[in-house]
Amino acid sequence: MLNAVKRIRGQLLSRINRRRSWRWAKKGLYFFVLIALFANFLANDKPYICKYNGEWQAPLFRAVAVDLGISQWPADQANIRWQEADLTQDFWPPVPYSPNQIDLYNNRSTSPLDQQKVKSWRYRHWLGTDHQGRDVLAGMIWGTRIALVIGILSMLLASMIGIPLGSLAGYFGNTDLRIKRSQAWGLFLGALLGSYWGFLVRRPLLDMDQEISYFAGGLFFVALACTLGSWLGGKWFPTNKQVTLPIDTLVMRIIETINSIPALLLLLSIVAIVPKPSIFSIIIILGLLSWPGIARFVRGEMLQIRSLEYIQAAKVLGASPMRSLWRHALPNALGPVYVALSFGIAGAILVEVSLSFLGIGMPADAASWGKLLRFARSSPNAWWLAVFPGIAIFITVTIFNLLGEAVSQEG
Amino acid sequence: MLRFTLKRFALLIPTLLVVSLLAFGLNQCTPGDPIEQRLPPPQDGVQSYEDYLNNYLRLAKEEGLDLPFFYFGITTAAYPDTLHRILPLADQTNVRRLIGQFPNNWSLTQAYFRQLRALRIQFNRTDLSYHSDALIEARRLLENMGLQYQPQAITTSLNALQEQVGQDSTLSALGGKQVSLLKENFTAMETVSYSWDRYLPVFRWNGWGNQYHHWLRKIVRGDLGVSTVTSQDVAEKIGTAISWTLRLNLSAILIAYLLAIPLGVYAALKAGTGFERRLNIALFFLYALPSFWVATLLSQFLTNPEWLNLFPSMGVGEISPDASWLEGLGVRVHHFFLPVFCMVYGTLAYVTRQVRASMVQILQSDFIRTAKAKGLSERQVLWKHAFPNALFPLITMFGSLLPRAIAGAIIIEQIFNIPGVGLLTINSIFSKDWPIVYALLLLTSILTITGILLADLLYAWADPRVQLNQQNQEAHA
Repeated sequence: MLNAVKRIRGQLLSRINRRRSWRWAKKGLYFFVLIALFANFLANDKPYICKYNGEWQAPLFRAVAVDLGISQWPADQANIRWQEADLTQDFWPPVPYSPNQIDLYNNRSTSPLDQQKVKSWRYRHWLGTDHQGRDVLAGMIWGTRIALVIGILSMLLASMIGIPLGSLAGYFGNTDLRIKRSQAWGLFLGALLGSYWGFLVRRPLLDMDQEISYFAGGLFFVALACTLGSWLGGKWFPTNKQVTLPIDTLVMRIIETINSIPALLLLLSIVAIVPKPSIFSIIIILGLLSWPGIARFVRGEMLQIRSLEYIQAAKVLGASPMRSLWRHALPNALGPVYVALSFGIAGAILVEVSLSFLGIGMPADAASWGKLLRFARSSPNAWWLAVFPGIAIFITVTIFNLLGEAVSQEG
Repeated sequence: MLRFTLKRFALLIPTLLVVSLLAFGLNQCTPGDPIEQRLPPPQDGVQSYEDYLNNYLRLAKEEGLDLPFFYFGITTAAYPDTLHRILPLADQTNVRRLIGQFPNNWSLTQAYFRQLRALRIQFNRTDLSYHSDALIEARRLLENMGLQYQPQAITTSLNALQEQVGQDSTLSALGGKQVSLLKENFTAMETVSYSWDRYLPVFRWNGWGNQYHHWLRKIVRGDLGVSTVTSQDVAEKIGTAISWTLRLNLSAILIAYLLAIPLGVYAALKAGTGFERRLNIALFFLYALPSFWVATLLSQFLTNPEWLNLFPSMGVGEISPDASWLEGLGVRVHHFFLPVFCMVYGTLAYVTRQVRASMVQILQSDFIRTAKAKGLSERQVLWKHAFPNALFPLITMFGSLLPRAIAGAIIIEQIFNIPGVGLLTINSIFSKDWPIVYALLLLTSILTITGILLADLLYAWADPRVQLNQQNQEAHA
């Protein structure tokens, strides 16, 4: 499996390297990922290191450590504004502003071209400020992180659901997934009881704001009960009667149902009632709504692969169906997944930007490209609020579309 | 064909069921209390807790809120089968939480809850001719206790309550006994012995008298309820909204198709030339251009007196009643130009690429070579033989374009203030007008399903191979 993944990576890279535009897309992706990774070191209102009260301090690194929970602010530094503090020998990030920091001297949308009330060119707002005096460039740098995190993680979740379902549906079709009747009953009962104890009995946890442990634990219960149920079922009732699971029809019906609901409308109406808006919940909901695309791709590929000779050979050699699916067919079906993934990431980023543009479901303090675009609507003359974040969105979406195109074209 | 149609309709039923369950379920999860919003303000500004409860119960009964949610329910044995009858909703939630904390004996939990309610009624009477700080404090504590379920929190409140009552002799006479009774109830509930059988599943059949059934029946009759904010009829509101959205979407899709088909065919004819490559690149970037960004830019630069004031920025325009239809059309076109433009270019890029791909494929197929070989002119080959066959994918594409277009129009509508489904949804979310949000979700889903169904049927009618394939699949299965 690991070898196959490595091989596919090599194939992907060689595919991407074929055209100049795709190579540029690859470089662009690296660039955006770097910005996302180091966002707090690129735009921050704290200096890297400085001399404060005669002592060397590293406020930015300490802030990161505090966020990670491994350090604490000394009492005299907890609430100071580093830009106004009396510092000597201070070294600042390239953009010496945080996305939510309000510059009182340059509020009411300062244009990047106008005179700005700043100490020196070092503190200039290169892309202007919004109506409250927040730096646009800092917002865009931090927005990269949120866009990529939501795009990539939600698609990761989507592929965790879509790949197994799609490959089962494609590989076994409606006729080939046979399990013992006793095991099927065990599985069914296990799923029923597992969701009962995993979700219903543990329901009071949800009332105590422990959503994450509630859902994760619930899923664990269900998985455990399913495994246990099918194992016990097979053990206690050793019949050889088999049932056929019409897995293909099942999966395709679910996909059709999800596709027949306008996605953004559904997303909006779910996100709007989530008690505490968080990026985490958006990732979960997006992942749950967007797995059909991936499942379809995998299914289509599996339909072709299952009739290939090496799969037949594996069957003849006595490999169990699950083994030949997992070890032989799936690694070779993963290629198209990358196509679906990169288009999916582009779509998820667009959804994130749309949500923050509308101001629904995103935490209020999250810096996002869409939020900047929303501010552009309230100050119609601030062209820099509309143009720069839009370019960032456009470039990111184009990069992922280009990569998807590169991966999808053979030869 | 008839069999295919019937089968296709039969497949609709589970989808519709799931969608309706989803809309209903989400509606149940909304924060806030729909009855609370509709309660009339108290006369003279004061209202006893008892009156409030009575008013609430009366309204809730009218709305059917005291019914169980669904035809059946599966709960743990700790929950009573009458939980849905406990109203107001805030109390119901808290009783559910109390049971989660003290699952072992329902009757003791019930006794505690009843005693708490009795005390709240007793202390909130309006005919009390007596006021003191202790009474106000006791009322506050009792109100808090209505929301508390964790043992430590309840104990703290109980102790504070006893202290307040103990300080004031009049208050003590009014409800001292009941406070100590409440404390006894609480201790009994807390110390009752553990019983494992409370964690067993219980299946309950609720019959037809449930909220989902009533909700569904109302919707089938066309009664979508009343807006909780403006008390308007939801159906009427949604009707106008959907008509605007459909007008916007259908004109956008129509324009996109009208432009895309010739463009795609032309590109297929020129396959491999520099023109085709350039067109491809242009279409690619057009497709990647986020429409709401373009919309923001256009509304910022073309509807703004500071830059260029070419188009109106708001709404759909007003047509005076004595205007001729041409003038009316002019107003609409003027207002619709920018939003439709924003919706067209993405669809245009997508459809053009599809037409080009399917046309290129068809032009390479055998029957085209045959047609050419028997001496038909280029034109005849292209329009009589190749083109109709290349059109089939366009029909199915319509089915997938419609939901995308409706969703994509949400933000466009918001930016250009078109009073369609998107704007209505967003405004209703902001004003927490949940009946509208979920009715819209349901209706747009039904609209989408109908669109897909029509496209499928049309496709099967135009291309009989589709039906055959389906039958073949069945034969193999």
